[in-house]
Amino acid sequence: MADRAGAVPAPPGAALKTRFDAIVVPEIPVMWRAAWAITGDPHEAEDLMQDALLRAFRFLDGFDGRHPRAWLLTIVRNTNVNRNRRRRPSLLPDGDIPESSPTVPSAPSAEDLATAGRFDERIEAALVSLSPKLRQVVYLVDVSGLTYDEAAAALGIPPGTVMSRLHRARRHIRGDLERHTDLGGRRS
Amino acid sequence: MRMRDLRSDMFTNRGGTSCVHVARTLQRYLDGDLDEAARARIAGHLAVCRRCGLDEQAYRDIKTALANNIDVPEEPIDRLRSFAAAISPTGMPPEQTGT
Repeated sequence: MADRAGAVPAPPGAALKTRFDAIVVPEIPVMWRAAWAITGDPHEAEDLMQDALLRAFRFLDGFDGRHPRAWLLTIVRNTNVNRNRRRRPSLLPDGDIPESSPTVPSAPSAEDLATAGRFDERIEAALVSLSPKLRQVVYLVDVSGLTYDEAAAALGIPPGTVMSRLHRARRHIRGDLERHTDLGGRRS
Repeated sequence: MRMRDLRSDMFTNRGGTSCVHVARTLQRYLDGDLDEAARARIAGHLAVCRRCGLDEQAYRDIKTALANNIDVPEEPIDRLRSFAAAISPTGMPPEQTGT
């Protein structure tokens, strides 16, 4: 954005830093939740976030300013793909999800809760029993409050796929609850 | 005759839309992904259809429980804000102070 008319431009680094503070910093909580959902591990997510913030700073100059949250969630996702590719290039196909993620931090095991019968505990147990791909969309949309479009940006998949995975996940959770609690008796 | 009545009941408009349509759009309704007119049609149906209303309540309970009972670790956010503030104007990472 050099000024051809000869006006003195702001130092590029300082201007970038100001833009970074305005665009990126307010989105850190949402980026963090996405990083946590993608990796399933808070320490891993924090490392991922540091890389993603540096990457956002580097690419900020070329960002058109539209849909900053979606842009930043895409950066989080791409940064994670690059990190995984560096660490285990032969194990992770491009854009695929690590089979182990996300996990439920501090969640009791499904076996522990199988006989508990309490609604909220059963919810956690049902969540644990979901496949990683279904669990990720639940974390992003239901737990973290992202929209379909934002979750799609974080995962690199179409919003329609987010929707269908989410609906399958909820049906699975509901089925699990109906089998293990009195929910089935109250419903339908 | 009774079966036909039952089937037609499945497709009967209640509150402006049918059970089949509500079943297809209920999740988007719960997620706030519908425009106002579509949202109002679903709400109108749910107000008068017991079966769909029970479905809605079941999924709403699940959604609420997920939002309220699964903790997202929030402590790292302040550390990440500090990290972001310490990125140099040239985009270099903050000096690591060592742990």
